[in-house]
Amino acid sequence: MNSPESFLNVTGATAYLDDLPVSADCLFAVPIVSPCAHGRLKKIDIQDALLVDPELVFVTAKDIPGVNQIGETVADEPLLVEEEWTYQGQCLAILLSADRARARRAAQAVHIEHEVLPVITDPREAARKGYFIMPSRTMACGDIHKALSQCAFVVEGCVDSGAQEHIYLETQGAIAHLGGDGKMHITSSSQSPSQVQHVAARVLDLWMNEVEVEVLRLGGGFGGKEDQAALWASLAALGAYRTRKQVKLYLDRRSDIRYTGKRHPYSTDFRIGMDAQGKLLVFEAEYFQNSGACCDLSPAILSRSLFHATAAYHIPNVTVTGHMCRTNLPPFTAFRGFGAPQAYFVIESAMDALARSSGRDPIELRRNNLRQDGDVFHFGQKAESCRALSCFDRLNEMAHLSTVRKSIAESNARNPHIKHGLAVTPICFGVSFTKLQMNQGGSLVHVYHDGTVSVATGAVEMGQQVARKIQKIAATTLGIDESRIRVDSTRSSTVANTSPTAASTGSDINGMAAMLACEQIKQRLLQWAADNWKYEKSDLGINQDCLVHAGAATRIGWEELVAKAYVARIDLSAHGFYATPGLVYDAKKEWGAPFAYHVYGCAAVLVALDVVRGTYHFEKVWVVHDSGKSIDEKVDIGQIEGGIAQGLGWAALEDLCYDAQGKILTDNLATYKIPDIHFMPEIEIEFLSGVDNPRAVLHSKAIGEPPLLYGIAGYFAILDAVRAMDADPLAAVTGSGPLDIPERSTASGLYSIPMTSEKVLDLIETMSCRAAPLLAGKASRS
Amino acid sequence: MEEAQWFLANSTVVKFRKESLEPALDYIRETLGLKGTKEGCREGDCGACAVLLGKRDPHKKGSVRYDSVASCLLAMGALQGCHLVTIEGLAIPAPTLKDARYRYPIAEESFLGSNANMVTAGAVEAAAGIAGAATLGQAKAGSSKSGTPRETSPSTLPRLTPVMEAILEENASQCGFCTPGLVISLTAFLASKPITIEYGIEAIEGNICRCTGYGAIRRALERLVEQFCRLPEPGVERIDALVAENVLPESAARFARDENLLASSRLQMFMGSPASSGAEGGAGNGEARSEDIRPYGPNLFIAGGTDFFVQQPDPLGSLSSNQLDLVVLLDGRPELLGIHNDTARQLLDIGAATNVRDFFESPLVRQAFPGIAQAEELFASSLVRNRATLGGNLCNASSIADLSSMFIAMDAKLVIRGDTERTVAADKFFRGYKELDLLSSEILARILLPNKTAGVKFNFEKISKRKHLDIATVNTALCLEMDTHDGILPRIAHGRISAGGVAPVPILLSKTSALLEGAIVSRELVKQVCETASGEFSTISDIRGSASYRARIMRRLMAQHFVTLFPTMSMQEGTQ
Repeated sequence: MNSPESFLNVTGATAYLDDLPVSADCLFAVPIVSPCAHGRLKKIDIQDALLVDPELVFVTAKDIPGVNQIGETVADEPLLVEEEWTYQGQCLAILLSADRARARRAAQAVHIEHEVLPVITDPREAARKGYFIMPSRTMACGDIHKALSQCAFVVEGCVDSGAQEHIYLETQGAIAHLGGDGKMHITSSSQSPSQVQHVAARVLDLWMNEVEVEVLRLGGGFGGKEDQAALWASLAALGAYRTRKQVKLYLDRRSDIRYTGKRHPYSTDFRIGMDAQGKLLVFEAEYFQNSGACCDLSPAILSRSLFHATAAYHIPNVTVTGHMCRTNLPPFTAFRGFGAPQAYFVIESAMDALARSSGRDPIELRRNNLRQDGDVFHFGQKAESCRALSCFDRLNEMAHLSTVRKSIAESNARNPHIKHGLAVTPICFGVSFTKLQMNQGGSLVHVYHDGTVSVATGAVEMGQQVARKIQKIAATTLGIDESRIRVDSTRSSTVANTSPTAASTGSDINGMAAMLACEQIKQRLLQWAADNWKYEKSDLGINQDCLVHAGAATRIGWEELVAKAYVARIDLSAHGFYATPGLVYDAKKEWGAPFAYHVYGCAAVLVALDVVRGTYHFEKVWVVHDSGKSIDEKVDIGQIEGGIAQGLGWAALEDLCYDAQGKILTDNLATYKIPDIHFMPEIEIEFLSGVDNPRAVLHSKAIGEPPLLYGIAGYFAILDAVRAMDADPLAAVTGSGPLDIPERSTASGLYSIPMTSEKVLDLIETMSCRAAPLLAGKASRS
Repeated sequence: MEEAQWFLANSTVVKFRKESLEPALDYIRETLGLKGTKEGCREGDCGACAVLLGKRDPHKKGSVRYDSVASCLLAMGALQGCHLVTIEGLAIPAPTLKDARYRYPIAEESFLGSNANMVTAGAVEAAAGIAGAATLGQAKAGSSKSGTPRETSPSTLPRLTPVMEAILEENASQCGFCTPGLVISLTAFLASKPITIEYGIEAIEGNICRCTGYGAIRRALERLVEQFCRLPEPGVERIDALVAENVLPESAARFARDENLLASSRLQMFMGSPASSGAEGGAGNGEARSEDIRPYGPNLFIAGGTDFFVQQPDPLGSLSSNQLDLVVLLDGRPELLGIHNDTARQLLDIGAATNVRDFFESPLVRQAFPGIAQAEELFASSLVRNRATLGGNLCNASSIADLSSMFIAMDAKLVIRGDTERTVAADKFFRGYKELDLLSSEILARILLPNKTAGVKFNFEKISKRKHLDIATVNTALCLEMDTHDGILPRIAHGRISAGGVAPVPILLSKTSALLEGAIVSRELVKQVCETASGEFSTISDIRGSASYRARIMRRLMAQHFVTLFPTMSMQEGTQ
């Protein structure tokens, strides 16, 4: 069965924020934003805007009754700029008008007098100047210097990865009004309603119990609405507070891309070394995270990068340092993977470089260094129930990789214009918020006396189908049919102090909280049934909508049981609470066990490279994934396929461009391209069989983020295909040579996400002169 | 009162009197209050706002098609005689989850009745000049007697169409924001295309989904292809079959058959004209019919609008009322349509308002330029091709318009019509950056393509960041007329090669083309072509690629033309 919400989706009946009815006197808010990346505000002139709409209301920082601050980790982000702004698109004011189109036109007529200040967009430059969000962090284990002397091969290099825009199809927005109950009511498109509540209360100088936040279904989030929804919700609330009218703020696509944060770009230096037998000994990395202008979630994202520095590999001697570099770009933020993809790309690039320079098979080299049970991560956690190798080997069988590699070699030898490439990426992803306090979740479950059930949790439904999983968890726990259960919207007065729906923990934490509440109600019902019908309670259960005694169904159905219990004044509501046990971490020593468990898996990507046009097409992806005992395989497959699409998009296609002045150049879907149906290859997925995970709800494993990492294999598949060329087959007719190729493309740009067609062509034409040593060093294949 | 323009919105006839530039998306969401059609990007690049556009060919009885188009790029004024179907028109939105879950069949009649009431009520307010104020939620049901149930016999419907069922069964809806558009595009596929996986993918290529990675969407498509592979050929018969299968609403069958819905329908409303102060019968040129369009005057001509709305996403707000009064919508005008084979002059005579899909699908065009069928998939998406016109693509004066490159290589002649008629060669039409050989009082009326009986080879190449639905970084077309009398080695009689994205305008590479005259196809020739071409363009850097990349990739595309057209020839030294 599908989740009932899907019926609404396919008929177009699902209401997203922009579809909600608004009151007749609702005002539409349009942000007035900074016109350049760094500047000092002198004056906002609204005279011309008043000509467009004489009735418009203009709200600035002076109108903020509380604290003009939305930063939650570090107080470095004003709701509205008072004097100096630090990125282009930062909010200076809002305009309110009764008509949305008029409000937008009026906003265009606003003139901003300002002074232009110097701009930094490059994280390394920011680091040189000492512009950091927070002190840098280092995690280390072993003895690097000693180990380096034992290495037979050592490779150093530089790795870059670019920003990625979320393109949740529903843009950011909120509707707010000050109710007749004296409460600020906010409907927000947010992954983090409690944060919206907290920030709005601070800005408006209200108590948290005076701000009600409700989140309906989101049209996609992917991390983009974790920290950054609070800004838009607070602006709408501020407008509603000042005008006493309902205020709606909903960004159009261009504004959303211009004003909001994206996945952090990273620039990283690495050194990796192994012994003569091909065992990794050393890994060092220094990550320059481009954090953007404000803190946002950068520290948490950096820590996840550091935790995932060695990916699925065991390396005994590790030193990794991360810098959070403050630049004049919009604050970069959470995006599915949350720092792990950037770190994965670094270690995978290092593995690639090592394989090529040592002549080892890149796939074998990876397999030989996979983490195993008992290995200790560089931050002290011991690997348990480690399935890196079993996923790798099952993938090899399932995809018939040796046959695939043979046919690739044959076709590459035959065809001068199309070269195939293959790469394998194993994953190992830690599940839990790295900030300990966030690993808690609550629920409120009501059984109504007609036998239907309402389950509310802190989980926000944004397409990941967490509601579907919670529905199944509740049905399984209560022993009743899923159709009786409705998973309700996330609302601050129903479940309080919720953690954001993020870090892949949505179903783990909230599902467990729902289960605990359902379990309480079930026990009360069974106790009452035992008392009432003179059974031993331990003999009773509920199964398939029926009271069960000693394993056999009784004639008492669920509805009767509930109705009678209600008459007997049994409490049919319960609150559930779950705090993930066993998490310990000493941030000073950077040592401990921050993760409840790890998700394992392995993927292979096959690509066809057209070496004449310099274009590529991903042909096939194989995945073996450890999902524990999956709660719903269809949902998990959807998460894996969707994650791979975003991963391949990030690695190869999605090219977000800023100019040197910090202005975004790709602010619409005509210039920022994300995967379409033609781009996506066939994906064959197998769940690792016979596996368990006692550490999560119903023995499942988190699914949201890990599959995105599989997309990284796409990058290395393209490199593999380029290396299959002997030379540029067109060199004879085009006369192209290395001199035509810009400097950046030859060596340092070898590991630079995204692998655009332009970069591919640079690599192809480089082949004709064997200029790049790493490219030329073709590994021998068995 | 003159005969009004009309269109069918789901099951309601809407009369209107103006060349309205209001995007259909806004009309649907704000005036009709139907929120199932989503705004995702407002530039035709995501498909979330897709609607079905039903059209009948007035000259061909029984010829009807339903296409998926982006409603953000669709002017209301272009809807004359069309059937606009939104997601709400396909299935009855389930009011509650309980209803949805158990899928109680309900009478279609009651829905149509109440819906008609609401729309009519909205129309009353719209006509009173408060356009945009009426939404379903606010409309007062029963304010008009015209909302009686339609005359067809009451029937019962399951709530979901098979397309919706397929998406549900395959779990192909995650966040759900793209889902209505996807349902629409899959429905259009079943209505108007051969039922194969390939055509199905083409039909939904303009629908971007950020959640699923398209795996489940493909599986839903496969399910539909299996279920519907035995449909009749596109046309009235197929529409009937799809109505019987509940893929299309009954209104589609009536639309396909009834020549005069306006007279037969009692469900009517008027659409106010936002451009003029009076709601009805506004002044200006709004009632221009085909014979009225001359003289053209200094008008704002729009043919399709797929570029126009990207530049003016809110034309009612951004254009002055004077400018709006100058709007003339050219698409659908009979004298600007059609692909005719002028055998006497050995020409294809093509109306400039012909849409891009019809051009690429035309057997005449495919015969005249073998290989052009492969170029279709590189042009935008099916959603855009269903609306974009040949003339619009040319007159947008972009240096990277795909058709400009093609027509220059084909040696097209453009027939320009103003007070008089004149002809311009396609490569002379583009005079400078965004500057055309076209007066504001003229329109591009027809395009004449040479139609040789044999020996023509054609190839189009395009490089973009994403292969499909993307704007070219560079493009180029090669059109060869082969010398058929020669022996073993292929010899070119005449050849023309064009390039886009390497100069302010799309250009004919004339020196390179001259090399081709009478040349024998060889690697040496390709080398000369690459070399000579490089001297004919200069490139700049922008977000789509650096100057160096443009120059280098263009050189390779010169070679790719020959790789494609002469696959046995090797480009590598030491080989034959």
